[in-house]
Amino acid sequence: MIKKHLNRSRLTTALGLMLLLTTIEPLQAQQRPGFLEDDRPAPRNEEGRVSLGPAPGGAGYWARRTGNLVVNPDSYEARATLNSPIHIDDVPLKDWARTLTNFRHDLYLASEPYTRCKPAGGPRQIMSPYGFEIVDMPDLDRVYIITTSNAMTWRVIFMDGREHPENLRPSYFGHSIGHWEGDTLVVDTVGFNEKSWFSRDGLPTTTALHLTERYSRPNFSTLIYDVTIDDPGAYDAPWDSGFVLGWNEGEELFEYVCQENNVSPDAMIGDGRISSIAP
Amino acid sequence: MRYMLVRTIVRISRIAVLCGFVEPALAHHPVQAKFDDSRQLELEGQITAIDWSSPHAHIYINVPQDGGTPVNWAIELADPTELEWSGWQPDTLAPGATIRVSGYEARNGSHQIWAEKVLGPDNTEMFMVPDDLIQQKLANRPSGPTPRWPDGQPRLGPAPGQTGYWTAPGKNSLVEDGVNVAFDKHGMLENINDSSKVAPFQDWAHDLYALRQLNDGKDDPLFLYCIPPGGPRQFQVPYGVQFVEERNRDRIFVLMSGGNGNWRLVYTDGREDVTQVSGNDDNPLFYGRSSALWEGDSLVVNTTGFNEGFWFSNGGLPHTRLLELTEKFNRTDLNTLRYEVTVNDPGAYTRPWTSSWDLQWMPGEELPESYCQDNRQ
Repeated sequence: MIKKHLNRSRLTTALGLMLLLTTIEPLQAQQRPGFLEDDRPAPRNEEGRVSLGPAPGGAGYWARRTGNLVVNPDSYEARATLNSPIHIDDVPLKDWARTLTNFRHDLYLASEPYTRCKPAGGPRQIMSPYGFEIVDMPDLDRVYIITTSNAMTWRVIFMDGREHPENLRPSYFGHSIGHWEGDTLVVDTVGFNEKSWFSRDGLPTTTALHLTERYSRPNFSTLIYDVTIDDPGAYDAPWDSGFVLGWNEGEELFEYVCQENNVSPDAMIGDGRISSIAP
Repeated sequence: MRYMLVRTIVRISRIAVLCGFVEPALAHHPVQAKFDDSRQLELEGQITAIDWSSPHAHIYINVPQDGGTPVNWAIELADPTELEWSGWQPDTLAPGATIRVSGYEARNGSHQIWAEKVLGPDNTEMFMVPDDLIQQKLANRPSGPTPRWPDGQPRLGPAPGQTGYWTAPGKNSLVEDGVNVAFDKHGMLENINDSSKVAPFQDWAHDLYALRQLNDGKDDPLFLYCIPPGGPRQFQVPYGVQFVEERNRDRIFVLMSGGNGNWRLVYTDGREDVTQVSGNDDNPLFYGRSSALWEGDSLVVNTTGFNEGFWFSNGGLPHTRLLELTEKFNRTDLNTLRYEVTVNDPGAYTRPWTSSWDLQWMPGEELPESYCQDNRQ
């Protein structure tokens, strides 16, 4: 029972932080109030490489703290977007993409696919509320990223040196191939569909999206996520962002079913048309 | 499930052409809730858009009207995974092309048609999901012994460096072992009078099961709202399951395709699932809380803590929060996973009972990405 209460209070603190930290400086992973920071070195696996999972015998998962993909003062969630390495004005959005982003904010993000239980890939998966685990299966030459929310789904990263296949069906998570550069997991992903928003701020992407993600763990309780977004369909140039995630020691992923209170069958048994979602 | 429907339609339509009449091809299926099999329709028009999503792809065409604005029709097809297995690609047809379609009209009079046949721009038949699609894919698999870990324990996943997943369940509904009744591919009884034989129902549970059957599964929460396929139903979903065995953490992720792409966590050292932030009291789940131990070559999983918001089998057998499952997984050779589930639910059944079937190994392929909620708005 004591553990449960502790968990609850940590969650409450996390929610409070998200709401209250309005002027936080660019991320400092250490000394974040409300979280148990652990300066022990990151655990290592049998080959001596940094593990992105728990120490042997332990448990835990990664969860975003306050970082976001871009700063957007025009967002109705402006406070929630303050903590990012890049300002929306510096994101090389094409005109149509900037117009669409603004339009989505004008509608208070009402057409958000995530709230319709769609999974979302790339940085959005890493931003999933309630976190994710990075499950390394060297035996199978693959890494899985498994989330509690984000429609309670999973994504596979192939680590066997294969290339991206041609003629991919566009998908929510795309096709990911990864490798280790020292202690950093580098993941290259293409083949995304255009059905989800890859940030909470409604930034658009196209099927031309090519992501390069870098996952590194400078200490036990910190995961640094860096991402290069190269999408000539929506952006005039590649751009970089990223955020820092914290380790929730001793906790595990749990069941979270978006559809439980999400009653919108119209698309399947109603008129089934491409979205005309409007407020 | 409904993804198999098109094969039936295609087959029956061939018979219909031969015999000169149309069979009720959509019988016993939730798609019947949307499309009327007695209203055949042919359309020709130019493609305006293609939505290649699960569980049903859609092609939109503009159909010219005499002296008026063209009407945009939605043509509903099978799941993209099955279409691609049958040779389709998302770019097989492109906006601008003119196609001809025949199929069944929507009951509500909206401009929608369930496609039976699609003829492409050059009049070649574009759309055909073979009747024995899965069997074709499973033919000529290499056989072999059960792959094992170095300590001799069976692997439920692939051997090192390989890939594959489990599919093609031998039964489409829960039914007590030893009972001989016929179901269609969607878990619907061929003969509704067999309903009481399926399991040792309590009266109310039997009546509810019969009602769900008589409704052709139209109130199936998986179909209506993409509610998860908890319990044995996760081993009945169209595109199968994969086991990720994390032995160093004594746990297995069961990854699902079809349904809504969820995962289920199973501990293999007998420990209790305490992952829910709000605790386990008064917090029943769709996948329950699973705890397992290996007994010889069998993984024996005990699961409790279910809610009542889902159907735990195709076809709508009821359950209550008292449900306790004992599942046994036994990989008898490279290609066969024996699944045996004992249902103990004193809320809905008069005694514990057991159902079992085999799943087939699909070697060399990745679990398809298929989300029920994909084309829900």
